[in-house]
Amino acid sequence: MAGVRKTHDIEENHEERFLKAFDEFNDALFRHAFLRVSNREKAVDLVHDTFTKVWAYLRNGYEIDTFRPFLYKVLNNLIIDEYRRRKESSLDALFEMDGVDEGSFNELSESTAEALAATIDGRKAFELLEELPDQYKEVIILRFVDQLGPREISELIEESENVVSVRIHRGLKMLRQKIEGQDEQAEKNRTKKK
Amino acid sequence: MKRFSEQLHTKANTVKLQADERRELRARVVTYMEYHPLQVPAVMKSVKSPVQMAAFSPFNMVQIPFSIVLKWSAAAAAFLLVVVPVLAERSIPGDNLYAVKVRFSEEVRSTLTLTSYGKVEWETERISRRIAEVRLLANEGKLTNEVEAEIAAAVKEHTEIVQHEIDVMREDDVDQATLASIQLTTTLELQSASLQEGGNTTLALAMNDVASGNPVQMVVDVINESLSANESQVEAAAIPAYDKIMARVEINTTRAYELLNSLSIEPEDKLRQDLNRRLEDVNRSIEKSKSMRGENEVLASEQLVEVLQSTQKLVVYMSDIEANRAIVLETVVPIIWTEEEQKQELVRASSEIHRKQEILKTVMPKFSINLSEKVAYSLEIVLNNESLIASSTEVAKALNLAKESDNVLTDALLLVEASGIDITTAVIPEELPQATTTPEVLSEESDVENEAEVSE
Repeated sequence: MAGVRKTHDIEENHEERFLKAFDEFNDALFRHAFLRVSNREKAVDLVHDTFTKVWAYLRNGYEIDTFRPFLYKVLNNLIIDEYRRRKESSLDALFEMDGVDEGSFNELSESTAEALAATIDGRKAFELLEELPDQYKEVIILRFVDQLGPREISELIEESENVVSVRIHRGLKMLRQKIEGQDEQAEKNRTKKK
Repeated sequence: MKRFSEQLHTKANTVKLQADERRELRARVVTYMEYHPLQVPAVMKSVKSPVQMAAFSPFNMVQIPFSIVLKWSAAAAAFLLVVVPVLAERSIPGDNLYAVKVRFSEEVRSTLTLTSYGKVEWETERISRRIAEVRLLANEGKLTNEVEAEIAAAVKEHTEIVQHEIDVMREDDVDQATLASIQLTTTLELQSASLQEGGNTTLALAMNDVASGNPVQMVVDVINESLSANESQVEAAAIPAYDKIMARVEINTTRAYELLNSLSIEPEDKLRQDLNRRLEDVNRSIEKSKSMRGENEVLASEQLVEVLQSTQKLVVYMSDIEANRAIVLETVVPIIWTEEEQKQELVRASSEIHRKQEILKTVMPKFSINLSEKVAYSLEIVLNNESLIASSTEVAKALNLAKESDNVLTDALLLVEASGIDITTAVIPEELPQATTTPEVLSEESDVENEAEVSE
C-alpha cells in the first residue's frame, strides 16, 4: 500500500493514467474476482466497483503512485464485503459444485503419462481452487494466479509474511490431498467400468 | 512447484473478460468518470503517515477554512445586527432585549442621523417611545419606582440632547431652531397630557394601590420642566419664515397620511374618520393660510404655525395610536369647522335657543318672583347676544355667541326644574325654523320674542 502518497505533480493527467490502469488490469482483476466469487456477472460488477471506488479516491484529491496493489486492495475489500453479504448462498454454491467436473477429470486422466500428469496437476488444482476455504483460496490465487510476491500479499491482506507463507503451504497441501482423492476416485470408476 | 505454478497460471489465464464484456465494463467506468469529473486539484489532501505526524515540525501549517468561517460569522453577524434588534424593538423596560433597543438600535440610528433637525426629530421620537413604555408598564401594573426613575432620566437625557441640538442649530439657522422647538414643545405637551389624562383614568384604576397619586408623576414632572423651558424660548423667538414653516408642515402632513394609511384600524372606525377629518381641516387651514399670505404674511405664518402644531400632534398621536386612544382626539386637536359647517351649526343652535325660549315662555306663569327675575336675566343675555349675532359678520363669532346663549338658557331651564316645575309638559314639538341665513332669522325671531316678553 505504499502507492498512495501526496502528489507534487498536479499537472499529471489523472484520467489518462486511470484509463491506462483499467486497460492493463481489468483482466487480472476480473480473473481474481471470478475465482473468488465463482460468478461471472458478480465478478464484472466487482471490477466495475473497484474502478469507480479508485476514481472517487482520485477525485478526492489523492494521488495513486502504483495502481496495481491499490486496485487489488480495493477489490479484496469488496470481495470480503461480498462474502459477508452472501455467506450462506456462497457455501451452498460450493456444495453444489462437488463432483460436477468429474467427467472432465475422466477425460483428462485418460491423457498420457508424465507430461499429462504434470498438466493435470496444475489444471486439477485450478479446478479445485473453489473447494478451498477462502482463507487459502485467497492467498493461492494471489500467489499463483496473480503472481504477487509474499510481501505484496502480506500487505494486501494485512497479515504477516509468515502467516501468508503458512497459508500458501497449507492450501497447497489441501489441494494435493484433494487431487489425490479425486485420482483415487477416478481410478475406482475406471476399474468399475471395466 | 515451479511447474505447478506455471500450469495453474496458464490455466487461470483462460479466465478472462470477453471482448464485449470488457467493452461494456469500460463504457460503464468511463460514464462514471464523466458523471463524477475530477475536481480542480487546487487543494491536494495530504495523507500523513504516522511517522510524518510524529516528526517534530516547528512550523505546523494550520489550514483555516475561511469560507466556512466567513459563512458562519456572516450568519452570526446577521443574527446579531438584524434579528436581535428587530426582536428588541418591541421590548419594554425589564426585558432582556430592552438594553439592545435603547443602547444599540436607537443609538445607532441616532449616530446615523447627521442633520441637527433629524437628530431633534429622532430624539423627540425617543421621548415618545419612553413615555409609551411608561404607559404600557403602568397599565400592566409593572411600573416600579426604579424603572420610572430610569425612564425619567432617559427622557431628561433625550430632551437635553434635543435642547443642545436646537442651541447648535440656532447659531446657523434661527428659523429652523424655532421650528424644532415648536415641534418639541407640541410633542411634550401632548405626551404630558396623555400621561396625565390616561393616568387619571386607566392608570389610576390599575394602580390604585399606589399611594402617591399619579404613578407616572415623576416622568410628567420631567416633561413639564423641559416644556416650560422650551415654551419660553418659543415665545421669545420670532415667527420663522413662511416657506420654512411650510416645508415642515408638508413633511408632517406627508408623515401623517402615511401613518393614517398604515393604521390597523377599520376604515369605518370612528377614530379613523375623526383623524381624516383633522387632516382635512389641516389642508383647509393650509389653503387659507396660503390665500392669506398675500395680505398679511405674519398672520399667515401664525396660522401656519398652528397647522404645524396640529400636524405634529396628529403624528405623535397616531404613532402610538393604541396607547393614545384613551385620550379624546378633540382635546388634542379640536375640529376646525368650515364656514358651511359653522353656518349649519349656527342654524341648529338658534333653533335650539328658540325651542328653549318657547319652553320658558309656556311655563313662565308658574314662576315665583325670585325665579322670574333670574330667568328674565338669562333671557336678557340671550337677547343681547342675539343682537350681537345679527350684527356680526363672522360666522365663527356668531356661533360662539349662539353657543353662549344656548348655555345660558340651559342653565335657566335647570333652575326652573330645580324649583319643582315640570317642564316636560311644556315641550314644544321640535321644528326647525325655515331659516337660510341665520343671523337675520335670529334677529327676526328675537324681535318676536321681544314683543312677546314685553306684552307679558
